[in-house]
Amino acid sequence: MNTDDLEPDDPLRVAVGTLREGEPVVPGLADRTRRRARRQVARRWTGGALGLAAVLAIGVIATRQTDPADGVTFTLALATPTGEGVSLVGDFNDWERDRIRLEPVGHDQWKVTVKLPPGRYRYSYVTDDGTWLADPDAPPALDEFGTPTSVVTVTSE
Amino acid sequence: MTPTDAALIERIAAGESAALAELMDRYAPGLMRYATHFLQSADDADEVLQDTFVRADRAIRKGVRPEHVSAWLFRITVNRCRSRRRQFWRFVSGEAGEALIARASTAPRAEMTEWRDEISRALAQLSQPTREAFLLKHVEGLTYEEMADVTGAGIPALKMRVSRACERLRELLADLR
Repeated sequence: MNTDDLEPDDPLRVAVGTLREGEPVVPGLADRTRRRARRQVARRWTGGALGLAAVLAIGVIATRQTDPADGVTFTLALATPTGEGVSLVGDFNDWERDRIRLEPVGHDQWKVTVKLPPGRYRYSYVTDDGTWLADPDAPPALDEFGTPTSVVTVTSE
Repeated sequence: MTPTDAALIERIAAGESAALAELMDRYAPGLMRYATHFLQSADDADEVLQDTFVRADRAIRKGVRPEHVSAWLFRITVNRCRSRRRQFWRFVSGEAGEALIARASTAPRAEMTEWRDEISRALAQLSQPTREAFLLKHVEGLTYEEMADVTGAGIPALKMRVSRACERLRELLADLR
């Protein structure tokens, strides 16, 4: 940056120096941005619901088994286009896609086991085309962005 | 070694969210400064920054590879700031809106020094294109070529806007003395 265009005694130089101090970036911008992106994905999901009819026609069947030793096993029955898969996102992985991928375990069947400390976690499934799916077999979670979200509770026993 | 912008862009394209956070660390301070001064609101500026990086992330994942990342992000931010002003004007227009803006821009802000407050008031009295040009030129230090790329305006028009902004600000700030 330079103020070469301003004369040394120009009062604007002082003003520009003050303006350059600026406002600090509010901490947590990355998290707020991520949540904003999720909210926009959720809007697209709502708007594209009719287009998903073919996928949803078979129904989304999901279950979880919680074992303190092995972790929580998430299973999902969902048809996806060839070559595409499903991710599990939630409070336990900062809602970042692709960190926990479900493994195909049969025809339109998906499964993953995650070790989670005792606690209450919100989660969703996200397909590779960006569709968010709640677990129909789990309690729904309150989500300020309207994203389909579920809850799983892990106990210590 | 600090990664280049191009390396960060490729990591973002690969879905690495930490790379997007690094891009924010690099460019958000300047974008925040511009948006705050333009919109006269840190809260609105924060919203604009979120929107800027959501759009940037989406574009990169779709294959966009900006040659000059800083100018590209400024272009998105400038457009989001303009859009936010338009949204505001849908609700208030005409004299009532002018009065509302005048009240907002002269309202005391505890977190600002008196001098900063006076500069903020002076900036608020510039027209949108003039304020935009002044901030990009003298506060963010863009060249006129970069400003033309960011704003879509021609260089002669930008020079005129900057000149007028400086004249008007000198008048307004001189009144304070």
